[in-house]
Amino acid sequence: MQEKEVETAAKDEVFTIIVNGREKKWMEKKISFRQAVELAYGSFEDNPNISYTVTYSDGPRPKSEGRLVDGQSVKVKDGMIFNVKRTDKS
Amino acid sequence: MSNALINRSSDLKKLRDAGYEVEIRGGFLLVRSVPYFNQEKKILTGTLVSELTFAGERTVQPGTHIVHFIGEHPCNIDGTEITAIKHESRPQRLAEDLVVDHSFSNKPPSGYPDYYEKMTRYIEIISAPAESLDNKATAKTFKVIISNESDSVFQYFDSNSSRASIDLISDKLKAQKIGIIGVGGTGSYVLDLVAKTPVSEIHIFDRDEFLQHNAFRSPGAASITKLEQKPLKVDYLKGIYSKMHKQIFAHRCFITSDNTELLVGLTFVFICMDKGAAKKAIIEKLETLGISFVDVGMGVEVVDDRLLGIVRTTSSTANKRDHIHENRLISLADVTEKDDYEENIQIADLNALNASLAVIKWKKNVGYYDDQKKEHNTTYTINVGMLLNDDYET
Repeated sequence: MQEKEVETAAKDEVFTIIVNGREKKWMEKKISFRQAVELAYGSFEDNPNISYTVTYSDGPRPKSEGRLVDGQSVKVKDGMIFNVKRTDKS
Repeated sequence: MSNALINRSSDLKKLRDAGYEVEIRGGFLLVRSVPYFNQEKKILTGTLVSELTFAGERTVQPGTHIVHFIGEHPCNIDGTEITAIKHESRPQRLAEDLVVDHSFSNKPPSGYPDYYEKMTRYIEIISAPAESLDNKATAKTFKVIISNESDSVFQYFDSNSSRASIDLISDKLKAQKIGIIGVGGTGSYVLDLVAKTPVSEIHIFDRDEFLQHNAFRSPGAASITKLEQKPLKVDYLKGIYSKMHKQIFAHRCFITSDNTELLVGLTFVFICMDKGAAKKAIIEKLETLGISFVDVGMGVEVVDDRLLGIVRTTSSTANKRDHIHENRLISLADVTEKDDYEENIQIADLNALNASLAVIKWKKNVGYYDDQKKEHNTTYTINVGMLLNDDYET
């Protein structure tokens, strides 16, 4: 696995974000799809048959709302709201 | 069938019994062979056309005083156009085989009380010059016309589309053969919506029974008697929706990798099932057959004392298939027992929303709705009220 370049936030900067209705602290400048799933579910199951739907809102401009898929990251802002679900019920 | 329809309304029956050539075609009322005098001072015959407003197969007060006419503009004895009715003169297509040339307006103070008064008033005005010149000229020909509406998929005709003059747009759905795989929460709402469209066939697939909890996420209201019978979902739903749509086929089975050939011949499929593992085979088959489909799914959880989650609608069409696989949008794994007890929360309003979004996507795909962006994935995130579109067809 490649060494991941982690950009920590400025000294003492801690973001408060909301993931599935619960407050979480985040100390990196960005958050990835997998990290969001870990925050929501406690772990990320790397099973190709499992799908997670990840959406965010109240993020930083220019794209303050959107969806993440595996491999994508988004810049974090204080108060950003994430929802992470397995959308498989009909 | 049209004669039976005419008989049920006293005003239409009166028109026909008076000898007028009455026909009901595509939701419109026609009176043919209406004599009139044209600009060239010749006596010709034309057809008067009016919208029809029904309540349960009987007419109610006409929705508008406007009528349409197929023919030249009726004139006075001196060859000048009758201005008392003059309104609009341009060709208008009202239905597949119904094009009119003019619209007339003659409005009595409180509207026409019924279609007999409406049509006879216009016939009076239009035919008077012709009748004064030739006392044998009359619209009361007593000719019998039989209309054939037996090829409609509906038990009673869609006057909603004809009243809004969108019959031609609705006609785009006629050639469709729809499959709904799974008629649980979301699937039952999909059926509710699709059964109100003139698609030629609707095939529903499910093996489950309709139980008490299903009643709380299904359209309509099941009776205790019905619940006690423990019908299969497909039988219960066909029983209700065949009251409107004649071509609903109930298949008492799940679609698995063993019977995907049941999907052959469908033009569009709604995948509304929880079982992820079978979905893989279904998606593969639909892609191979070149059939467009929509997959729906929601994820709802309890957080403290509230619910939150996401409702997802994903489509796959001939021009765009890759996103489902590249972005891993659809779960292809069966839920574990643990997940099942903890998280199978579905709420009727979310099932209905998911179904509505899915049906709108289908309608965009077949040209019923305008589709500028051709998004192939839409999610609604409840706690921020956010509708997101992704995976556009470029």
